Amino acid sequence: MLSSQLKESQSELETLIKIFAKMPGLGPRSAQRLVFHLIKKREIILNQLISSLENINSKIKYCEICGNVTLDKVCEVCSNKSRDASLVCVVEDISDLWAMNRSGAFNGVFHVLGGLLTPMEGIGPEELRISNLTERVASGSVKEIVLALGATITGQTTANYIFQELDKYAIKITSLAQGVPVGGELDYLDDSTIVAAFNARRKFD
Amino acid sequence: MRWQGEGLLLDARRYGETSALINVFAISLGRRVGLVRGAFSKKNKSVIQPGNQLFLTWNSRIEESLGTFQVELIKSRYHTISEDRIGLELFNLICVLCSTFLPERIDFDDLYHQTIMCIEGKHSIEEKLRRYVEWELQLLTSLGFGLDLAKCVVSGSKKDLKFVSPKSGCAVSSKSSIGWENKLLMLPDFLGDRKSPKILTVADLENGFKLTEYFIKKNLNPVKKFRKDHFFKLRNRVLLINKP
Repeated sequence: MLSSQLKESQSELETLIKIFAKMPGLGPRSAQRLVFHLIKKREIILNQLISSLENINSKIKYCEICGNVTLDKVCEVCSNKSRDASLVCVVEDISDLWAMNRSGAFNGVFHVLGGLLTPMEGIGPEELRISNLTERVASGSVKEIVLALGATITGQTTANYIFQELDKYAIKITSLAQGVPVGGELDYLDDSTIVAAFNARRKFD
Repeated sequence: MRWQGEGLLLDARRYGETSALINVFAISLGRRVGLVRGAFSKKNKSVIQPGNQLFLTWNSRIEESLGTFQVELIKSRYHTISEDRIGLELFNLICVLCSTFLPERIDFDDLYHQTIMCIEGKHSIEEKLRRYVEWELQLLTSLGFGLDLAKCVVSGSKKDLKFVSPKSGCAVSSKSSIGWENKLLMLPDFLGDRKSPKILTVADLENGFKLTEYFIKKNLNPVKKFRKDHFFKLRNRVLLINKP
């Protein structure tokens, strides 16, 4: 009887460890440490975690306009009247939106694609929120689109596709500059970054 | 087991937190897949970009296993590929076709050299599209389904070649094709008896795309999951960039 109970609790724990081990940055050992820590601090952390996860599961939605996570139909960024809604920054993922927002350099609104076009994996425009972006532009409220996608082949492929789709509308389409990162030393940079930096050089004043 | 060689990076897929499964097209070794540890670290991110020319060292306990790669950058092509819209689209198509149809560990050196020729150099849009059609023909040849476009399959004539038989993949002259024109595929001028014409027309390039599409669909079997319709839709969009 006792051994069957022990087996059951062990398998429950193992299931939880396996779930945690699927998280980015965690392996089976670190997942095990986390699970034991949660059990140890049941009152302080575990109960809070459970209610927080339940809240997220029941309340979090995607913004109908930009695709950001939100508690309402429209996210805080889209509903903020002080932001310029005619300036739309297109990003790959919600984490990119948060990074751009954190920098404070941009006072427009966003559009999250939910991924990048990856022909090698068969990910096409239908799998992304490109048609929603076209609809936003077609509504006539957008004056400029900033393509803030990664400096990768897939990022540029996606940027090209969006440019082709939106070229027929009378809007300005721009993309982020590429070049030397802050703290970057030239002799450690790769050829492509140096070429991009040279091509994007500007008048020093 | 260990080998060293040079190759073109076709694809890098994230594996775990920082590692990647890479797909390379190597000289005299063919298409190879292997693991690169730490591929997405800050130091290696720029090296593991599709299109880059890499020096590869492959290690494995036994020949059949996946093995791990150590990579060193020979030539970075990100800026040349990404700055040119049509070049980028064509490069993506080449990568998809290589990884979908080339079996692993068989050398395809002619195709490798043609691939490098196709993605390198500054050319006009029409010239790039012509080179791409020729690359697809080389892909068919490398996999044993080459077209015979040197002479007419009916008369043996080497002049006035205008069509291709969808059944045999051989050229047909306009004289021999009388009455059969609707059933034959158009042979673009740049592939027929008038090679390297001075002006490449949009119609000629479209015929080139239709010709190779037909034989790729008919003859080639994918070695992995392949969304055929999706791919050819993307492929034929490239021609729209060229349209005035």
